[in-house]
Amino acid sequence: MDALIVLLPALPALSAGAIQILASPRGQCAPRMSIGFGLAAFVLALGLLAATFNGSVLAGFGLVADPLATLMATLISGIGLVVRLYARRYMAEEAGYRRFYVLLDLMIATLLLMALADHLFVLLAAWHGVGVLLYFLLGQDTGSRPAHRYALWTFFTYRVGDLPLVLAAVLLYQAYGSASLTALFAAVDARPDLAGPFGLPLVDTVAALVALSAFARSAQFLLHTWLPYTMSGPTPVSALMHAGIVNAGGFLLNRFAPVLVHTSEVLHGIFIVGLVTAVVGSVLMLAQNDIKKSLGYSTMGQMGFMIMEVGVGAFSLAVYHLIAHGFFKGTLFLGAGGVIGEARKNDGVPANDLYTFVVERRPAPRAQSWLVMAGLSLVLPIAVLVAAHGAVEADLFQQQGAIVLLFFGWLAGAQLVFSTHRLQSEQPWRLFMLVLVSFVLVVLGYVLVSHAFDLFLYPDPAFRARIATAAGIDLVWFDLLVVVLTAVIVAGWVRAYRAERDLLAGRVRPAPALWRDFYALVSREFYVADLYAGAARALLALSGRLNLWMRWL
Amino acid sequence: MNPKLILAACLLPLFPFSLIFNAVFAWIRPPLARAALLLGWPLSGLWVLAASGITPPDWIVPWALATALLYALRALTLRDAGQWLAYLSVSLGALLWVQPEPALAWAMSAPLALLALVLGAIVKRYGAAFAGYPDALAARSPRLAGVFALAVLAAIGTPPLSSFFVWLSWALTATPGAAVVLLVVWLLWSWAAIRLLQGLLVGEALPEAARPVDLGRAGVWLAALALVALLAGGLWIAGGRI
Repeated sequence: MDALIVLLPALPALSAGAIQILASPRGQCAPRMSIGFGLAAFVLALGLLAATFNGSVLAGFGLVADPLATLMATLISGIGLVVRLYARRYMAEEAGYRRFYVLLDLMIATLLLMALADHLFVLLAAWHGVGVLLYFLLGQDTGSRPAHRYALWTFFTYRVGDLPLVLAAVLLYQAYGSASLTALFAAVDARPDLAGPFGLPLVDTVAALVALSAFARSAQFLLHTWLPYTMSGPTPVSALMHAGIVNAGGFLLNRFAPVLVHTSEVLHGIFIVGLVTAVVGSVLMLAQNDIKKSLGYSTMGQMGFMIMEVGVGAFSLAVYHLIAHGFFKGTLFLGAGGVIGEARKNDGVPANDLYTFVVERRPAPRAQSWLVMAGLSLVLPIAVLVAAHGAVEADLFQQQGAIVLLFFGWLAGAQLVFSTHRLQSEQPWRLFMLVLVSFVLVVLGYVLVSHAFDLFLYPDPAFRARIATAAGIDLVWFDLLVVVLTAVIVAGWVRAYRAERDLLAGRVRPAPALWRDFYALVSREFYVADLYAGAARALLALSGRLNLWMRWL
Repeated sequence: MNPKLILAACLLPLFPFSLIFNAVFAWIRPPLARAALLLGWPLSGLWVLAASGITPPDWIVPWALATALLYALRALTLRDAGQWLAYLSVSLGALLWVQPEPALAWAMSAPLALLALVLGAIVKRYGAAFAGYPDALAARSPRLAGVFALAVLAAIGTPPLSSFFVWLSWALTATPGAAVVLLVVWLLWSWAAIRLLQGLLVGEALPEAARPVDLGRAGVWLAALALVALLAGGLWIAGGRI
């Protein structure tokens, strides 16, 4: 029975081998075989997921089918199957059709191996393998130098991210003498206070290294430059990347939750990195005039939220987020071709209110009473969120993480309601009620599903309580943080309100110099890519100079 | 310094003794002879070390790491694939001082020997193997390009092939400080490898570009068998040695 677990990654790997040996380079044999094996892997993953619902956990050969692994395996094999089906026609006229399916199957096999890994070396091999395969998938068009240039950025960032994980594995192996993750986590739980290298606490060091690795994989700020630029690859690869691969950081942090639960400071650091990434990603997304780069930064912002959720101790919520984001972004990418095709047939731009408001950013000429609506905007979302969370878990307000998430939920809800009241409509209250009902449904669904995930992934209440404690901070600092963030957000709303009121009144105020400088900084994407390019050029110059000095010997 | 240690430092090349290996490698041209050199040189070094009974002094590992780092950095701007291979051999040979074991030397040298043979096949068809010449190899000789890409990946430590587990084995036995340097060397070699691959494989083939006969099916099967052997070697190291 335990052999079934090996079969899951083996099926796409076998498919890759069979396609390379048996399929013709351009025929339909390659996609048929790939889809057949992919379907079998998906059914098997579903079976393993169902088994974990019944409390059965298969393990063996350095793999484990625990709730997290089976959930991820189902997601990967499901999205993999959709991507295969989509690529069957989309890639049919591209060069290297067979090679694409071989690489895609190998990638899915590697991702499944990563999800199921219960052994450090298996995890490292899969983690490293994903970066290598992604390079070749992004560089599917061997004639395109730009595609390969940006694929190299991705490869290099992933390799940079691999190294901290290897270092974490070295420290764990040297300290506890085992490579089995289950055994290691038990050992960490029994002896979390061991000293690490250079006198640093071992568990904190390992947790920080694992987090670094997750940051590179999930495009966190300063390790994000590869993501918005890798749009030259085939659309199915973009879909797989944005729907699956980039989410691996959230998976890794969940896998190492038994280590992270001992490290309050690292969790706080993760929260800050996630927060900065979410804000920077969203700001850069708004400043783009290239829709593809805009989508890339949107993914970056979402990854920031996912990492932030881990930082506040909502580990299972991060898994839910990565699944939801995977479906959402995968649909966007796979639908892109259809949208382009439709636009080619019909270029009539819809001149409705929603379009002018959202796309052209033109405010509606007539707005409802802003005082009433602002009151509703601030009060209603928080009431909905509090009621929904309170209905699911009574002692929720003892957990700071939940309050932080409520806070962000309130921001999003308030923003939604705040935006809605500016829409011109024949029946504004009807529109408002519809938005409100949708919001209530989304929040209830979100809260219920996230709590169900919590119970499924972390069934031990004591462990959940320990996570909440580890992620907590001093109450004074916490309150101060919430007040400062609220003030910043409200100031932003007031500024947006003033700017649009001026626009309606036809007043033009010159932008302050500081604001213009900030815009210049944003338009250059904070010069991060330029800095890296400069560093790379300096290193290459040094390399060339060394070779000259040593006469190429 | 003990003469036997100096001899070992030439064979498990430490800078500046590494210049000898590079000169010998540049002098030898036939691919088979190069493959034999890549296999035999580090193994001879390990044999000298074992036969002399010398315990390497503490300062030798930092020296070996510095040598490996130097050649990894220098490889970033190399265009000649043959010279690139020689530098990689020096870098890996020096790292054998971290864990001087024959099994690891085999596992690390075998992919290098395979790459030497593949480069020989490219030189035979195009007259040279430089980043930029022949470019667009993927379009002009797709089978050869595929085998070349796999051989380069095998040489720089890509999982699940044997060299990956060699790097892992070195990292697991090194001190944390040495492990950091080791990983930086690994990162630089990965970067250098992709630069080399891009230089040779990528690009649009011009209509007038030469298109010599691609690698035959037998050649591809032989390369595949070699890779399967490297895979088995990697699993053996992972299962039995690490």
